[in-house]
Amino acid sequence: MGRGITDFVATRTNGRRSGATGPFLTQSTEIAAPHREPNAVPSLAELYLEHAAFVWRNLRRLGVPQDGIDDAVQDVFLVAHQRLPDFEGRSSPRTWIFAIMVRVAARRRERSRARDQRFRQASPEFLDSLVVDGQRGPLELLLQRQAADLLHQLLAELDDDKRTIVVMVELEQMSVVEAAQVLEINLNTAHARLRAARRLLAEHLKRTMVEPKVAS
Amino acid sequence: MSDHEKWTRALVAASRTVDNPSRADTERVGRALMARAAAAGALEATAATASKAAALGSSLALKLAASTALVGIAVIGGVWLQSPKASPPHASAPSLTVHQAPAAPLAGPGTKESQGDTSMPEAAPAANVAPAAPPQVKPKQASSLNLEAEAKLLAEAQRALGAGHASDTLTQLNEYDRRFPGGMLRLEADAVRVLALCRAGRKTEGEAATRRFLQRYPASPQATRVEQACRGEASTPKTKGSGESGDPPALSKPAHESR
Repeated sequence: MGRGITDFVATRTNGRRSGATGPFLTQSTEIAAPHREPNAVPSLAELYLEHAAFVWRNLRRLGVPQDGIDDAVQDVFLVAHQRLPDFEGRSSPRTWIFAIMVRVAARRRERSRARDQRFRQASPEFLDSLVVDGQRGPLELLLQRQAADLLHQLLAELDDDKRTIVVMVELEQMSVVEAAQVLEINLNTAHARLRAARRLLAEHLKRTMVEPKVAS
Repeated sequence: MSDHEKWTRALVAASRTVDNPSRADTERVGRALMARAAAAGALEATAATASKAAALGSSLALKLAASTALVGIAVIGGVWLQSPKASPPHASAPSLTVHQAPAAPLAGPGTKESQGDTSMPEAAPAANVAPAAPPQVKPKQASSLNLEAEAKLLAEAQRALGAGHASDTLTQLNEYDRRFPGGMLRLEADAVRVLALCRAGRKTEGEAATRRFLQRYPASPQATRVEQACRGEASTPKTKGSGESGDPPALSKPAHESR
């Protein structure tokens, strides 16, 4: 089928550029999938540009280490593109991609678990400073970075299903229904896991704060 | 306890905007992706793959560049021009080199715990431009290469099926099973097998494979297509529930052919 990939990309470029004054690539993840002809399969480039940031940040949250992220992101899109002709739109594209991410992350995580064992201790002062969330200056960005690192540590201690559901629902603010689809569990189970995950996160955080783990 | 729950929520809220890739990241990974896709033949199932992929790669680069801050362009251009390995993505070039070249600059956001890391998009390229130090951690490539080989073999199988050579497809799928028993594209391979068996007229095997597939992947996007494969292409598409129901349709509702 002559899809005319290059033409397609060019068209999309023109279409997008008008609104692309801001952080175009990160914004683009928020743009809903464009309406397509029933049989039109988006090109790999289109798929990538649409979801690159979404995939990137969530793979990190799912435990893929920084030095494996390039490969992991590519893996997700290669798998997604391979499957695309069969994607029937029964779930949202993001849900569908997330399911692929979960599998890719599981492989990448196993390889690197031992290596990525930094431990960060949290202080009440640090955590309180997060609560008063104000402007976005350099200090705030730094705090957010540290918060994310700490959160990754806590997420890493959850089992796969709980981690996935927290990342989807709490961080990406997707619905529990979508998380249930990705995990192939029913809605009640999903809600129960989410509650358990929240409780565990808080418990892990508490442990982080009392145990002086690293003395360096 | 409620303090910790409150803090957990604060952590989550503060983390929502973190971890996005910089534009340089997106550019680098996008190029590598296009190169890998071209090498795996995943872009187009025709002989024109190479040129199209190359064109696609460069238009992607253009598009990215157009939206990238001037700093970003300079840096990216510099990196790609300097690095002898970083040829533009050509299908003929081994994707590995393109794919591996950018590995070193990865020492950007998040790798260090240093205070300087603010994950600001513009801040990252400055660090990235530093000449590639030898990577301390050897990037593993095994799985990436596997995925390419997997995708390639599966694409060949699909191509054969599209060309009406179902038996070739089955041969290739057997090879796939042998080489990638735990492959990432297992689901797709199983789906193609069902289609190929049905297309080859091996109806009994096809129906058995259909049942296995629907049992293993009841909620997969391919379920409907697979379910209908052996019933002929003309049957009306059946809308299924949103994938929550646990029972595979084929079991509760056997195909209308007698067995």
